[in-house]
Amino acid sequence: MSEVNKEGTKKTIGTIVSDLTRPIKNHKGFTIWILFLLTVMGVGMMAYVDQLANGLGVTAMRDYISWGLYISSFIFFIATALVGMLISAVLGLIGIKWITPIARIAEMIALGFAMWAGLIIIFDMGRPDRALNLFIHGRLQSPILWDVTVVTTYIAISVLLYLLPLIPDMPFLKKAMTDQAKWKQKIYKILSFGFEGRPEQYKSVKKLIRILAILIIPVALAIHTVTSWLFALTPRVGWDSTIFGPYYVTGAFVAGGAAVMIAMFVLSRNYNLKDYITDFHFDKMGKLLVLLMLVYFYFNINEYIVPGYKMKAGDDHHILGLFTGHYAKMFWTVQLGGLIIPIILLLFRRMRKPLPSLFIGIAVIIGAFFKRYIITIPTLVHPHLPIQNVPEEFHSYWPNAWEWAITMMAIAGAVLIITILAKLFPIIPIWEIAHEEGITNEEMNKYVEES
Amino acid sequence: MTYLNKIKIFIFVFMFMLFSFSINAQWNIPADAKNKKPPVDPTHTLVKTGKDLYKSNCASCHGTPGEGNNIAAIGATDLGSGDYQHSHSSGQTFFQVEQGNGGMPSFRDKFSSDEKWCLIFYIKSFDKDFKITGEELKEQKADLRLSLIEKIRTVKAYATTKDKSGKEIALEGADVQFFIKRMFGNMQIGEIVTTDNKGIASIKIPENIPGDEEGNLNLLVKFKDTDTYGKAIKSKTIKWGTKLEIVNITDKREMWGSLHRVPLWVLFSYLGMTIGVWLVIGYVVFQIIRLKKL
Ligand code: HEC
Repeated sequence: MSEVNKEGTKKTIGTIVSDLTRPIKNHKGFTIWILFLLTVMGVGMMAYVDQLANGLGVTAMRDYISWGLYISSFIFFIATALVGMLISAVLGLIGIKWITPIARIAEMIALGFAMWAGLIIIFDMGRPDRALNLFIHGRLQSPILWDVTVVTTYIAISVLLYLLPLIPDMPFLKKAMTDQAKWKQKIYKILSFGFEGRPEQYKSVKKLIRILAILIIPVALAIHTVTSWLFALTPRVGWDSTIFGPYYVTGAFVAGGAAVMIAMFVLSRNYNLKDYITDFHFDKMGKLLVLLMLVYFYFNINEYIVPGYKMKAGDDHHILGLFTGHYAKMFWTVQLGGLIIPIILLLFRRMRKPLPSLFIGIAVIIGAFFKRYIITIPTLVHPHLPIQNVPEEFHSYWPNAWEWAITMMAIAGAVLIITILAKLFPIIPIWEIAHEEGITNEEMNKYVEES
Repeated sequence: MTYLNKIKIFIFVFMFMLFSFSINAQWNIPADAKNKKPPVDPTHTLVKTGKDLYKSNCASCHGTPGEGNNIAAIGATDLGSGDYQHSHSSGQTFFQVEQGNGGMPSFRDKFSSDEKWCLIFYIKSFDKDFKITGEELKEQKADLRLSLIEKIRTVKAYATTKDKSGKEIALEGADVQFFIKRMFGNMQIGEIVTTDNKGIASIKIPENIPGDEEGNLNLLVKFKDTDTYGKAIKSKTIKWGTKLEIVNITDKREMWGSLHRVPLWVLFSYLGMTIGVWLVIGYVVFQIIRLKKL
């Protein structure tokens, strides 16, 4: 008896396949949701076309604060994408069983957010048509080039790590989806890569998943460490920190963990998969999130108390700006509402039930979003030389409608990718659940062959 | 003079601030100070002493008297001007030098009373009516010849002058200064050397003076007392400096260099990691494609 399904009785492969493929066929509300996402993206696209035509001047960014909402969203996206590595690689490799039904969800989130993270960087360019120059004339000494490299690599591995565990599901899909559109069946056929459930094929897939799971750990650490180095390798107050790498990585796990929690709730309710993603999983995920948040909290203490105690010239303006000054409201809201209160709440078993988990997850992810803002913008307000003889608007920054619209487009875009994947393929790996239930490969093959 | 000009600029910068605070402070000179008289009569020798003191202590602000190259911006007047001479008695000037005011430092403790009077005599000597007693100082045109002793890095300066019959003789007891020409002004080497009875003043050139690419230094030698011996400056190129190595900093592989000058460890780390990871990705893709055949 596995941990996965504590309450229910043993499932047969037939019920598993029909349970997990049913939501893919069911279209209730799907069109409205897609239309909603497309509308959000449409508005963002209009803003972006205007930005393309008239330049970055349409945003609120100016000479001094030239990294605004786009870059802080970029870190947020990369952060959220990192959860794929944590859940499917780290926890998977050390043999934690309860992640089986949520590993693919984590991987979908990773994919959606990593892809749009790459696009956000393009949005932050005044002349995206020159993006290629980054590769032609880019300097290998620059962390920005490392970032471009590692983001691309991470996306590639994430695609594979999503695709690979999907392959053994394809025979089931081909069988279960015969009543679906032709193009879908074609996709299933192509993506099965000739997989027919032979033992050698299972062995190979498992081995490849293992290789990728190991490979993605250093790459994921690299992606977020390099992202943190975009900041930490400059001598600027608030960024000039030696712990920025681990600080970002742990913060990323918090954001991703919250994203998984939200996705778990939405998908399990919407797809009626309460038997697969149970209270037990929410409880485990809640505990994991507390652990991650405690580690992140520890890094926060170091990141703010150490310079706050010394109050070096330069640092003092920055720290006081956060603690009591212009950014105090956002800073404390984020730290309390997005970190400390969720930690305390999640310590109670009751709060790790699905519905409270959803709300806590939302609070944490909003906190995570604005935390990136708090990291990015206040530093830029304190350049090394005083800001002089510039128009009033250069002194401060708050993202304007264009930036919000374009950022919303990115968020909607990431959610759209997740939605489409969830609509094409089962969100829970059929074969892995079957293995957990003690169903052998032979039984599965037999089921597929029966007509 | 160029050296003086630089000091002037330097002094100007911070004195200007000082002065802006003190500009309102007026000289407050008591009546008995104005009537103070020198203890001795001015002689040419005393005026000469005053001139030397003035050159090294006052000229940086007040310039050469009568030439108007004073720093007016900080309020330092041309002490040789007719205006000044007519309105200030010797006693008053003495008081002012002693007291100082605003941007004008106090020299009460720096000079003895005699030295101060020498200064006053020099300043007053620009007044046509000022009577100087005693024998006039004679000029004694002199010349310098330089020779080098490579082995011991020593420069010898022979000072000569002409006797009454026009015959060249060694000049004894003249102060000689040695300089190395630098980018901004001249750098004095060692102390002032007085010529011996053979008219020789010699100095050892220290090692490790940075020269040009060949290690050349530009040596300048002159009499300290230019009034008496003339302003002749002898110069000579000596090869005793250290060679200047011109390193073009953009030639090296540096973190801040262009792509072509990327440090090798960065290049290899980057390529190694990227290629390594992508080889594994490629392997996985290849294996996926091969699944069919298994
Ligand atoms: C750092 C610059 C500086 C130096 C060096 C300096 N002075 Fe002055 N001197 C001034 C300034 C400025 C004033 C004007 C002060 C005022 O009017 O309040 C002044 C005023 C005077 C006055 C009064 C001028 C007048 O119009 O009433 C005399 C005399 C004088 N200095 C003599 C000297 C002598 C002699 C020396 C050298 C021993 C000397 N100063 C060195 C800056 C300098």
